[in-house]
Amino acid sequence: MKQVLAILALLVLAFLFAGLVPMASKPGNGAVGDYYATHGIADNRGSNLVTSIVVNYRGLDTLGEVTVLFLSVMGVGFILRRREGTPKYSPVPASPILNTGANLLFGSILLLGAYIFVHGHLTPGGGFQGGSVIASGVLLLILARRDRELSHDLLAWLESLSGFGYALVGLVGLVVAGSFLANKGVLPLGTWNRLFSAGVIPIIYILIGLKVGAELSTLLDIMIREPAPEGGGH
Amino acid sequence: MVDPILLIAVPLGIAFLLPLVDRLGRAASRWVHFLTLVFYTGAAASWALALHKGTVAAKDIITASWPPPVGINLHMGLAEAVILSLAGITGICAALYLVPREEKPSIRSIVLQVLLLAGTAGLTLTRDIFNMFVFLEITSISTFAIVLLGKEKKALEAGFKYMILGGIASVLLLLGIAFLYKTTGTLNMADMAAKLPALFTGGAAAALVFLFVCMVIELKGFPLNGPAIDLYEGVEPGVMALIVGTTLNAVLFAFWKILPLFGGAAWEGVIMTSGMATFVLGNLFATRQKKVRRMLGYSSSAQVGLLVFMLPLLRNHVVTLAALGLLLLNHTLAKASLLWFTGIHEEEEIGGWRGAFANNPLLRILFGASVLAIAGLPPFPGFWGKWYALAGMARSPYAWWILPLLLGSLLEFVYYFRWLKESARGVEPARSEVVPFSLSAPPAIFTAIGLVLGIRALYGPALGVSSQAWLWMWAGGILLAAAFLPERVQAGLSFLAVLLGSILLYSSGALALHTLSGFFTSLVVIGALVFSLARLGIPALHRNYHGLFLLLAGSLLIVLKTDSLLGFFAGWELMTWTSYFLVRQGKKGPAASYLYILFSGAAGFLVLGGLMTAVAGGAVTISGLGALRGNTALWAWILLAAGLAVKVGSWGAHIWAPESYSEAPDVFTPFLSGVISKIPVFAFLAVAAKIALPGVTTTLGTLDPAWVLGWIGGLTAFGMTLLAVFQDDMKKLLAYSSLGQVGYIVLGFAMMSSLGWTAALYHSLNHLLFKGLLFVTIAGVIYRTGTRSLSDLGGLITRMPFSFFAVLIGIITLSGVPPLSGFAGKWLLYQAGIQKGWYLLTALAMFASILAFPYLFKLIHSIFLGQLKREHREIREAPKAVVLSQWILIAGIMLLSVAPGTVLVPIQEAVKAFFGKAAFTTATATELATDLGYFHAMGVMSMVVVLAVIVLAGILFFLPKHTTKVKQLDIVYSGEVPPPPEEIQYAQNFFRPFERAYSPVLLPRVKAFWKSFSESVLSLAEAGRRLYTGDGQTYILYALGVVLFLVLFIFPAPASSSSKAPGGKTGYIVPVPRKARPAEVGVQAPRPGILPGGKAK
Amino acid sequence: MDITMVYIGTALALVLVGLGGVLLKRNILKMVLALDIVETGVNLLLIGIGYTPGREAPIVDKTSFFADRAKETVNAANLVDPVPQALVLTAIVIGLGTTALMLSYVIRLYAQKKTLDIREFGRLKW
Repeated sequence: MKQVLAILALLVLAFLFAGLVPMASKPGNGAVGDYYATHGIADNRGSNLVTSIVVNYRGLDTLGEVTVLFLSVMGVGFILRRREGTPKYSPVPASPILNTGANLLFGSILLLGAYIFVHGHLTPGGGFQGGSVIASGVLLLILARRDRELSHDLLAWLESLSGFGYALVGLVGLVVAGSFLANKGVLPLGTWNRLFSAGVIPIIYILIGLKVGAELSTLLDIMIREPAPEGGGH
Repeated sequence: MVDPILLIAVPLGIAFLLPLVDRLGRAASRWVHFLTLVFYTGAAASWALALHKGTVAAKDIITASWPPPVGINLHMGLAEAVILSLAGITGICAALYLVPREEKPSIRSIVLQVLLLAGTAGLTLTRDIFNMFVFLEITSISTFAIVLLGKEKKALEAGFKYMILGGIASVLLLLGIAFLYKTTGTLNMADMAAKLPALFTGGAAAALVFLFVCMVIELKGFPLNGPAIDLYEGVEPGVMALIVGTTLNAVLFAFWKILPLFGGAAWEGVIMTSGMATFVLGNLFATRQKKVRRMLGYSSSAQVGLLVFMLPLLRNHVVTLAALGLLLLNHTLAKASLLWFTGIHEEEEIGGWRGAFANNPLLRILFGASVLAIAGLPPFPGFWGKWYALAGMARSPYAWWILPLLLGSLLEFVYYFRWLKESARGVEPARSEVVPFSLSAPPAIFTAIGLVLGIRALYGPALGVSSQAWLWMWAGGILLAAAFLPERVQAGLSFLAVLLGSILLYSSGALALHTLSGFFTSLVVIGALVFSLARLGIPALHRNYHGLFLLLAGSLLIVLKTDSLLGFFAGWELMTWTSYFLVRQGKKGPAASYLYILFSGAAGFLVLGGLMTAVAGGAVTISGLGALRGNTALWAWILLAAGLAVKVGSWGAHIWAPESYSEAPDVFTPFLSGVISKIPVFAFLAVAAKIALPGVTTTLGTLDPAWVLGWIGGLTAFGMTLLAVFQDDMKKLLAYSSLGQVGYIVLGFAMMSSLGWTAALYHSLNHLLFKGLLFVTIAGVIYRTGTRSLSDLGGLITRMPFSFFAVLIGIITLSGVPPLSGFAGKWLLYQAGIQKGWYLLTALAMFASILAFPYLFKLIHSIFLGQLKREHREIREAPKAVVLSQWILIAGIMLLSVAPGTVLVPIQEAVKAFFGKAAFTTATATELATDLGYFHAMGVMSMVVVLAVIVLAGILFFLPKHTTKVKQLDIVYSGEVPPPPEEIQYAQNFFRPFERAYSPVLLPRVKAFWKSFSESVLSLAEAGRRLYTGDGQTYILYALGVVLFLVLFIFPAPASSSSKAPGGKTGYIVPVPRKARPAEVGVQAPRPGILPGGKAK
Repeated sequence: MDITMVYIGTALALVLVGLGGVLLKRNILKMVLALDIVETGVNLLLIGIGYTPGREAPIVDKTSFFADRAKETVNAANLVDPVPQALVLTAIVIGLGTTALMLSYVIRLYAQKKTLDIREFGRLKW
């Protein structure tokens, strides 16, 4: 009965969606989008307009986004509170192929990740993308070295300081330029299409890159561990 | 002032740092947590205060140096500041509360709490729709995680279902935002709202449906509130309190911010219907709920539904921001407190609440106060909020919505007071609840905030609460706080307060008999004085008695003195709950008082309905009621009269009264019967009459409503008298008798003539004297013998002669025969009836009068005559204070008997003010003459006294000399061992044949009616709540169903523009010209010029 | 038939597929994954909404994009709308966050009940 209703509802929804397709696929940019496209370079000098929007124009969103990530790390950690003494990693050792591959690749993955977030204002990519790449390297490491633990100290410091740094950069904007997360008037904007350009945008993106890398790694680390057996709870 | 952006930035930054801080130790993190919250609360509260005083203007904040719509902007106004202050205080209290609740404290829970607050700030302040989405997710995700704090067996399931539905909600929101961006090309709310109507296309219509359904899910609207209610049941209540105080309000405010997008009458109807359905149905389903926390869940959903319902009204300037704010504040304060209580007393089922907080008086008072607050009773903020909101609605085309609103509010009474009832029953001394400070402080703080705000509102000059009334109430409040004092001391203090208050009232001229208010104030003073005196002899059962009594007396003074409709109703509701708590203090009080509060609540809402009708007619004050005309006047009168009739226990709605009168503490019943039952009479005269007088011609067809009321009064007088005859419980007997007597008063009032009113007023005083006398004496008898049952008593005349004499005087007065004062009252009433031409009704009243004789005889006979029971042989006379108060009342009766004119002449003056015609042709202290007859009280009295003296002398003269008095057991036995003497008791099955004769009339039809009524309501609730199957997928299907329903039925043609919104489809929508933008909450207008005019369409 | 319509249609179809999974699959792990599909569909829809055939990604890495080199204004008609792309970035991260939380709930629920069937989690009702 419920299934039938569900399928029926989905069919009606499909019909409704079909009606929305032509409207959603009309060509042309939104008014705000056009503004960013036209004036983005003049405002921020970052070649990558998406980065300018993410880090500057809609910087508050991104601060929130970083918070969401931090929050989910905290939340997942909170939900999967471990009991002391439970095994963490699978005792089965990784194969030599994985081990060797990890050794070879980890450094370059880290480098690629860093490259992506350092050049976030110039090329596709940025803090989130770079951070994810770094985390994927860490995942490789976790899979290869099941007997070792990640340095939680390092991750925690990275996580906290980069997050706090982001908020601090925002506050510097508030003090120096009169508005939270401001770019103009805080640092020189530099020349268009150069590495050292776009004011505080690269700084923020580097902080985000570090934070995302650290956070995703922590997240993976927490989730790979065995959960607490139920009954005693926590 | 602190830059509002710091409310977001500081908690976020601190949250990032907290894991590092925690390395210094948990104490350090707790301090940082606490200081962050203090900063947050302080910043928000300073904004709130400054904005309230008007010393600063609302502030727009731009981020990243870009004005909207290019950058994200925030807005700090009064509403935002209040919501965030509340969130901050909740955060502090919740943090305090949660410390001992967490079994294995973790830094993560602190981080989650801080982020919840940061998310709340962002959600409240932002004016960008996508930014709103981000902060909504921050609050949601922190909620998803933190609900697992504490015992999490059930929380896990509940949380998962909540998350899945929350996921659907965020998908819907994102879909909505996507289509709205495509349509308008902007994400700024104000900009979007400005552009939307012109571009209203199918995509935008669908987007609004998605947005709305998302909001319904987030705001726990019907029928998508299943998982949220599960959450209340399964999750640590301290966490739920935190969520109620923070994100719930912020989400509501977010909905308010995007409300301008929902243009058109159709949307208005949908939003209001959805909110009201949630309110009524949530409350209905809650009535069937035995699990306390689940009940609170339904209630929360309902209350938020009410707020949602009011948002479009706020937008149309029907309801003020202040009204809505008070309701929101009240809900947060009361609901969080109640949730905290369910954490302190961790019983899931309502039955487990027996004797809760029995040995913790502070928590007990706080718990009661929280229930009062959530039920919307004064002085708590919800009362004022509801009144202002209703008053706004009454004057608008939305007036009919008041009906379901009051219905839902009454349903709230049903389950909240049932909870109080259960918690009062029995005391479990075995359970000693040592409640740590950190658990009891949060509800104390919240209740205190509510009280301070509410009392400030009560001090409003327009309410006309006299300083005298305040004196009484403050005395009561202080005594309530000093409830730890011994009972004797309290009783003494209370009596002194009453004495002092009475003297002050007298010296200020408030007791002038020739005004209505003065007359009734005198009744209150007489009752309070005499019964307080009697209480010195009979200790109260409960330590809160004295404080509550003074509060009650103070509330009566408000009702009697004020000219403001709001002040009147505030006093009325104060009277309702103070007397409720006093009734509840009897041994079987909880059950009786539950019935009392339900009927009183219903009466209150009927009165409120009547007052709102008057407000709709433009009245603000009681004296302004005279200006009402036509149907408004008629309906205001009918609703008021109906409410007052319920409150005096008229036939049909009387079932609450005998229970309450008999189960109330013995020392309180005289006041209940003698004074409180007169307050509705006063309201009849002072409020309802003002309406009907100019509109006597308004009739329901050929039916005169006053005539109907007269019949109700007459039938009540007859029926209750009849029922009194068959009672074995002497308090119940007198209770029915009281109802009957008040029936006469109602009859007198309904006559709407000067003679009728004079009779009613005179009888009010008389009834106070003789029924007070009877109840006080009975209280003394019960105090000495410990029983209320007539069949357990007998022969007390030798042990309690003074009491016997008092009852004798009382019943003679009640029966209305000369020479005592009762006669004048009946005499006047019959004359008024004849003058009016209501012969049948007058005959009925006369017949009812005669019916009183049997029960009066039964009363005095069963208690005082016949054989003395063995266990009563050592009984002493009632305490001296009781006897003294008896004598005072007897003196009053004697004065009235000899010189009724001392009271009737001023009464005549008072009544003349209404009818312009005197009741009497001549009236002096001892002589009265009307058009129909003549009565010389002194003459009658002299005659009777002379006759009595002759008869007595004759008896003494003819009495045989040398008579020996034989005692009951003084029998000569001829050397035998006497068997134990048999005690003969006549009261058993007294009047049995009589009862058989009347049996067809006596069938308990009324009780059966109310029983089946309540059963059908409950079965409706039972059927309805099956909707929440507990299956997570069903709930998602509901969400999808609501989306499709709205798209297909409410907005069938998505391509139509908003100006042609299909409002005709839905008949309940009231089209009202819409103001462009809410004035109260300044939405920042987009700055023109920043966009280089490039229209991308 | 416009290519954008294909993108949008696919995105909405993904939403439908995901919703079907959420509504019809009893396994809570599959429900979480299905919700993820819904989110992906919405993200794709956002990208589609900003897309205009023939325009380039909003990265101004060539001088030819400029309308006026001196004033540093760019000819917006050559670029697709950058706003939805920025929004998608945020939406993806938020989706990640909720999915992570849901998965940890699944882990806990399985540990508690040793089952993943949603029907077993209906104790709280009415």
